[in-house]
Amino acid sequence: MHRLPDDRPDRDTTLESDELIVGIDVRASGVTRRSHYLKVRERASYEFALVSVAAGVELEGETVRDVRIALGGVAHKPWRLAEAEAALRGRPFTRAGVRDAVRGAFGAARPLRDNAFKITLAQRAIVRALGTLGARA
Amino acid sequence: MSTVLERPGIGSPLDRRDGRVKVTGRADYTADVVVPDLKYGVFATSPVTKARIVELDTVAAQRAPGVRYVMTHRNAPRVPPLGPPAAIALLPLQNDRIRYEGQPIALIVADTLEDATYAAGLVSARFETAPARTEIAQGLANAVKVEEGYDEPDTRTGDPEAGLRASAVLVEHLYTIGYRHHNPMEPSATTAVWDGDRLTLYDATQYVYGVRGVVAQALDLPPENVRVVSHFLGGGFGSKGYVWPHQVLTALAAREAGCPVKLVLTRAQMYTSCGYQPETRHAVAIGADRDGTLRAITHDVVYANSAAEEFPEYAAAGTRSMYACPSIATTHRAVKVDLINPTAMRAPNEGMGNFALESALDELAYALNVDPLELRLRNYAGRDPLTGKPFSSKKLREAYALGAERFGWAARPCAPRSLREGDELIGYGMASALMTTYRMPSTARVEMAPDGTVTIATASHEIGTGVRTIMPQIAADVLGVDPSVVTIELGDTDLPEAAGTFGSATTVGVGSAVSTAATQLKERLIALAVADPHSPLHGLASTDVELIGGEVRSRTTGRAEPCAGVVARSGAAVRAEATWSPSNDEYAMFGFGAVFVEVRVDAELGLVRLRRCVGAYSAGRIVNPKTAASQMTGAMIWGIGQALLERSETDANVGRFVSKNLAGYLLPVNADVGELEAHFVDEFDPHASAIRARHR
Repeated sequence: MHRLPDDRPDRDTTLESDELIVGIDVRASGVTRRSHYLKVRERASYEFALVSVAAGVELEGETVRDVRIALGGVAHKPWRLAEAEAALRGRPFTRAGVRDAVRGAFGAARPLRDNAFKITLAQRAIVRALGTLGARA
Repeated sequence: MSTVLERPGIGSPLDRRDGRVKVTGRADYTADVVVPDLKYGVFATSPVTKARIVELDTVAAQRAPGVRYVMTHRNAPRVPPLGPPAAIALLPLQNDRIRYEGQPIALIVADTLEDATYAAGLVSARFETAPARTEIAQGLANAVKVEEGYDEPDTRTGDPEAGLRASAVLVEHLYTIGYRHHNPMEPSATTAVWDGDRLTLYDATQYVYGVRGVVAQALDLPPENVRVVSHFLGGGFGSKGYVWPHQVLTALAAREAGCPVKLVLTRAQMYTSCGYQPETRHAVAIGADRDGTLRAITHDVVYANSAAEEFPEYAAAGTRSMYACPSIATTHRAVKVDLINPTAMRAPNEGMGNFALESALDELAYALNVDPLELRLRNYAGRDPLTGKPFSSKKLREAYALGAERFGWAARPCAPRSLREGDELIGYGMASALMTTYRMPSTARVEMAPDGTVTIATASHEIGTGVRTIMPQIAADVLGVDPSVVTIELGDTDLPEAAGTFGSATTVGVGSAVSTAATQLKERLIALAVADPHSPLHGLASTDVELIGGEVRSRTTGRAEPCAGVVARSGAAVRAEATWSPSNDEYAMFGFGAVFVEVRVDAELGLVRLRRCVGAYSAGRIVNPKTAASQMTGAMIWGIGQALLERSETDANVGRFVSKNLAGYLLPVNADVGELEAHFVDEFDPHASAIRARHR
């Protein structure tokens, strides 16, 4: 539904003018049972996120069976980190592992003049969010 | 106990008189004023900076529903350059020049606000633009000295360069503070009503007499033909202190359109119509001996100033007088930017520079491994380092002690990064506060009616600080009556002239005028009583008579009668009017404070949150501890904004402020504030005012 700007930066979604979202289904799964949303902002309330992280993880013992990581505040649309998710599956659930997996996912990130800080901040926020979900230090 | 009951005036923590009318929506704020046949004014503004209007099309706007009148630079009456206290000399809509984004290019007057807003959107213009500058970094090489002003741009004592060279420890840092906007809840608003050649302006202003003077000069009217009314202000913080174009233009539009006009600036227009605090850069160097004794301080400020106008900002003013130090040099240079003129904003001058000075002093304390409070005590100034004058009164030492005790400073863990809770480091810090005492002449009238009620009349303003509450306390104290029988009329040029409500100067100036007038009224009442054969006090020496408990009473004989009886028999209300002007300039006068904070720092995510703040202040006598503490906790919240959140970003590409709204401009919300405590040391300043107060 969310789209990249291309030549229509005014359009956030693929919704047409005669379309309306009437419901959202969130299917119960392993990753929704253990999930967390972290919003990083300078003001404690009533502010858009500098960076936000939505994350869920399903564990098998101490190993990652499945994981979902999405970022807000870094692109024109919510940004799913599929590459980092793939790198984490089947690996021990540790902060160091998360850090490595996430670093790789940011290899292609290109900041603008005034938001280079978000590349570091987003990675730290992901580590923090997954730490909250139990990633070992 | 009976003494307390008989003298409930100064020092009582009374609730705000006008609290109920304010919170129930019954207070008549300026934008609420409605008069017969009222029409609505709305500005169309320039989207570009530094430009010339090549084409301006108002045909569609003129034909839009409900439109009565459209003013542009083509048809606006010509107005001479505005004089003080206008914030800018050059009125918009006088020629085709655009000097800043947001400058009005047309003023639409229509039957309804909606009609006027719609028509303003129909105004179209083509501009020829020139490169614009909005940040001081773009013009550091061309910084200039602003000589015009109310203080010196540069000061120098001793030999700062030699002092820095000879110092065992040197701390040098550059501190920057971004542009900041006042953001009062109430936007600026003006309603202009003409009756022949007489004009009434209902105006959201901190200075009714200032508006009268500027508008009368601009419109070539005798000042007495202009009445300005401002009964309540929803905050101003300096944005309503000087006079801005919208006030003059609304008066002009009402005259040209032939109907009363109300103009309320939109929230977005508040960012480009009534000033802001300029961006500043502070280069601070401090040299000290190993024991922390200061040898030299230099504080060099660069600040932003409008290209077309001048407004001096003395951001290093606090550095001149805060600490005992033999060599202190301060300089101020301005970079011209293509924005509307900056103005005074909570708090100007020291409010910015103290952040730089105190941060540098903290660095010095760390470098010397000395307690930051101890370092400040070692350099305590007994006289003003700049002028050598004694202080009118200074109890900062007591404030340090009181604040430290209430905060628990001595018992804190001292080593940096030694205390952690979860993902956060917990830190403690403190700073000194200092603000110049501003004193301005004011006049007040106080009268007692035959029923014993007292009315104060003075053209001061209620900006949220409690003027309606504390002035009756001051008069009640002198007249020996309960404050509940005293009311005040304010915010109207039909009343005796008072200074503008800014510079934390109202209690000192207006309060002194009220006290002086009340004292004269007391003398009149006593004189009437002892001269009146029907009074039980007849024939007594006036020195034997006092006013207490609502009575005229003999100290020696105990003979007494109600004041109301004296007034009633005199046949009319008894009144006195007095002007207070500052004197005792042989003293240096400042408000002082010591502020202690506990903060939570999430170093990984770059987040700083205030957990608690304790301030202790030396500000002279406190008239109402409740309203005074409320002002200080409010000031702490502004401090949170200044230190952690507030900044109006500009975009150099388009030459304008980026976020002209309260979502993008970060003021602290409740979740940012934490626990706040404000305390005052017991103090009577014998020199600063007629009421022993020094501030507020």
